[in-house]
Amino acid sequence: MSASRLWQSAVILGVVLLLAFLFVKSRVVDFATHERFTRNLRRLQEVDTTLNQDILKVRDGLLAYYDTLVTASNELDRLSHDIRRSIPPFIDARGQQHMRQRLDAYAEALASKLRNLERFKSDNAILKNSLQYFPLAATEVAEAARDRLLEQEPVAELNHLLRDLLVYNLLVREDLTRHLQTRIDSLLQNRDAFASAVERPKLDAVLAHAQKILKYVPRVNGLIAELLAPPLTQRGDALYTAYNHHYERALQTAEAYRLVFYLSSVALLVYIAYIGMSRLTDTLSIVTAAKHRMEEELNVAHDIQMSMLPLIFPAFPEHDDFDIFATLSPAREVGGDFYDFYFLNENLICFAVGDVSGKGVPSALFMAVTKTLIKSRASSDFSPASIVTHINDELSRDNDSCMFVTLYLAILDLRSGEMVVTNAGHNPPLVKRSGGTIEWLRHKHGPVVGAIPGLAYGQDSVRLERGDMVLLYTDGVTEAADGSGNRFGEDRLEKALADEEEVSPEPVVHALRSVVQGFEGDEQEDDITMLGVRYIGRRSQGVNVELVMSIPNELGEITKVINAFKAWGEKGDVPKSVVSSICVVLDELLNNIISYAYGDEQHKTIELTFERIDAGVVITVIDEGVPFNPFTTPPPDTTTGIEQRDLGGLGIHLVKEMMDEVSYQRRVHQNVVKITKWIADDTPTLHDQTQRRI
Amino acid sequence: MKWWYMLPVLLLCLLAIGLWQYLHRTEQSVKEPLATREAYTPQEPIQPIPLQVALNDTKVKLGEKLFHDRRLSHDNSVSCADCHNLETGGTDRRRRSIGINGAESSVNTPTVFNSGFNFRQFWDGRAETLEDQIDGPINSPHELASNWQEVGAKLSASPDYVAAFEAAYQDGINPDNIRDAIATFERSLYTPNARFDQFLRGDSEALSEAEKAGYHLFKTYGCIRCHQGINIGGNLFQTFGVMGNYFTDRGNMTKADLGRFNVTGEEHDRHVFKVPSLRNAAVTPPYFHDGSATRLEDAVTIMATYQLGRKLDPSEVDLIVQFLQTLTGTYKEKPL
Repeated sequence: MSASRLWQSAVILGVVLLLAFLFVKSRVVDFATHERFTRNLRRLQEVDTTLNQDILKVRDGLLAYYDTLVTASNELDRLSHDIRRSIPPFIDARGQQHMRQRLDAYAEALASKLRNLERFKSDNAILKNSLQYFPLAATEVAEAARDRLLEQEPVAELNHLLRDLLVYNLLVREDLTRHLQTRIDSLLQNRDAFASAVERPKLDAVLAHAQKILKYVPRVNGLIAELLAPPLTQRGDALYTAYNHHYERALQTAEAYRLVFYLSSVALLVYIAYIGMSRLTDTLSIVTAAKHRMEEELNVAHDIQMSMLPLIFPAFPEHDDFDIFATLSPAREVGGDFYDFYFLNENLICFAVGDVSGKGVPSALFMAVTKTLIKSRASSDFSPASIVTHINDELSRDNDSCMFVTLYLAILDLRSGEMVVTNAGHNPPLVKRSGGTIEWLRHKHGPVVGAIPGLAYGQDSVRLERGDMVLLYTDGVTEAADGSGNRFGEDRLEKALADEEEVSPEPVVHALRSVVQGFEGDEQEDDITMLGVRYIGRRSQGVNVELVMSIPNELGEITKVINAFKAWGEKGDVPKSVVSSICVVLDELLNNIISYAYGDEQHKTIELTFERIDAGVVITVIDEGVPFNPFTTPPPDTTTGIEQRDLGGLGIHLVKEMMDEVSYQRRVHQNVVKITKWIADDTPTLHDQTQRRI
Repeated sequence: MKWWYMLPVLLLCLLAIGLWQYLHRTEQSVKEPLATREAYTPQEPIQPIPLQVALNDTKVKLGEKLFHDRRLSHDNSVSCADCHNLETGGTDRRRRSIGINGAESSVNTPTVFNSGFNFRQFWDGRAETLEDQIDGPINSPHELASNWQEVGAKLSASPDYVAAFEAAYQDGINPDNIRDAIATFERSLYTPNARFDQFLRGDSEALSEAEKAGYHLFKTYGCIRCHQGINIGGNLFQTFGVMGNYFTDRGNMTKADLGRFNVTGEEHDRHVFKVPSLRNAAVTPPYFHDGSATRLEDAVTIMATYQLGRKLDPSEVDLIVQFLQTLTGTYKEKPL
């Protein structure tokens, strides 16, 4: 785990713990506890009030026993202890202290009240006893005395005392105290007056009770006054007020914690969201990196593609007999388009446009292979059909990835304007004639290259006149689509080409590309490749006379050929020495072909072409026999031909000796032998051109 | 760290919060009411004892066992029940009780019956509750001469007690629980259904005419001023000798004779005692804190003399005694 992750986790854990703390703090005010506590506080006041009422009832004799007083005082005592023990924990330390002080004050007042209550109970019992017993005893003594005494004054005195004491008790008249005390004292002094009639102790008891009443009435009343005095109630109220104050504060504190809790929650959520976002950003950067790598890969593919293309124009500044220009506008993802052109010899220029299936590096590599194969094959084989057939075999072998390439291959003879073409599943090119008419070259010579092995592709020859321009392109042009899905198509291409006033390939191709890109808009779907070749022709065209002959494969035909050649040779200013040496060579060559090329004695045709060019004579012999290169392989020696024929002994070596150049080519099913004899003195003349068929 | 690691962490936090809240919850100690009192005509100064008092039976049984267990004394010789014999009116009917090693108590042993209705315990009221009261005999060298540590150790050695305490209390054997058990048992020692209570409940036939006359005298002569309420006393303090000096007349004044003065040190508490309950008085002689009155008649006479200042006629004494005899209640439905 990385340090930053650890930090994040620590921070989150910390905040969660903080939240837990805040949560607990915000919930600290427990309403059940509060309710219980305030109930106890209220109960305290209630019981106090009940106690006070009961005290008054006891005083007035409405309550004849003390049980309720005991119950109430016990409950007060218990409540005050309960309250002290159960000060809610959410009251802060200051509040607790304050409450405890208030409780102490209350407890002090309560203890004092309870002490007074005990004294009240005792004193009240004594007072009530005396109040009840004194009239009884006084009456007893008075009646006894009245019956026996002559002098009634002490009796009247006693009766007055009885009356005054009861009044005193009822009215609580303090001013009577002295008066009463005087009466009691006088009775005490005069108790001898009762001596004869009443037992002394009885009178003493009566007077003692009178004394008790006199003493206990103010005492009991004083105690009641103290018991009912406001301090306890006030302190109870103060307790209640203090608690409410601190409770409010606790509530506010809890509210504050709750607020902080909410804020912290929001902060935590924001932080988590931030982490989530940054994680997303991380992912995004990984994706971006991957995309970058992919783009680099595409660049590699692009580099391969572009490096394979000749990009420098004008490509052949020394040549004024033709003009060539090509562009390739790669799509965003590299497609498999390519083009190429190069001279096969000083007269033949080969050019090709292709489109490899698929995209990316594999396509680029396939394209490179294709291009290399074309170039290597074309160096020794000037027939497009043969080249395409060959590379088809090469590419379709071990083609596990099932890639293929559409290919248009053309070889243009700059001397004659003759263009031999093979179209392997490619778009048909156009030719814009020097007069402005457009022709489609709709020959098709086979399917795409690399798909099916063993196919033989054909070829066609097209004659270009001076000023004609041929345009090759890939499907990126015709299949370019506009926003609504319409394809550019061949019609638009034809029109665009026809409308173009420029004649040079470069401006034409640029113009066409702009048209296509304008049609397509920003989104280029596929590579757009165009290659234009304008045939201008050589200004100093040499003698170019041709004789074309077709003969059956019979030895008797050789003489006809030699005669015809002699006639053509004279007509074409061929020196006699040259003619005769060529005749010898022809005889040898044809003999060879007719004798050995057709093992099955079939009737076949041998085509001969004699060309008078600037510097000499070019003879091409094409037969359809078994593949056989007379210049590398000596003829089989088991045949009887060599013994029968005189000239046979001279052999092929003679041919090579006598001719300046010899070449052999194997086309699909043809052997092509080309021999050239240079003529020292050359006077070039313009001749009409004759079309020929290979 | 994967995100789901946060989940257990959060759960843990919630658990912690819950636990915290649980531990800090306020104790909800709901005290059972001691007794639901019946409402009677308040004009009568005496109230009947309720027929039923709801108490925790397990605790009562445990307390009963403890009450009779001599292991509560230092040398395993004396139990609570030895002085508070339930067979003899909840007291030993001796002037002074004999504690450990034959030591004599300083005052007469009051009955344990209905002690739950007393507002204080001991003659001088120094214990607020029954629970507090137990500390007295346990620690007194004249009584059980033990201490809580010793008692706790002895009880903990007994598997029976350990099991019984476990059943009755969450926290097993400790002084508080021992006190509570014994006090709960003592509260179960109420004696309802005395004939006088039946009279109070409306059965006028429950008392004879003489007994009713006795009750009338009891009220007339002011006895009722102190001996009132459910326990006919036991709810206030009063001076012994309001109308005369009992202690001078008796002589041999002891420290115990100072009564509540020993507790408060206040002059007006000199010779002040808790007014004793008159319930079951007929079966709990001798009387007064000094156990000086062996017969009810003597007690009534002394009371009349020193509290009222009247020498009662023997006939009056007889009537009052007859009335007092109607105050004997039942325990477990058997008369004491």
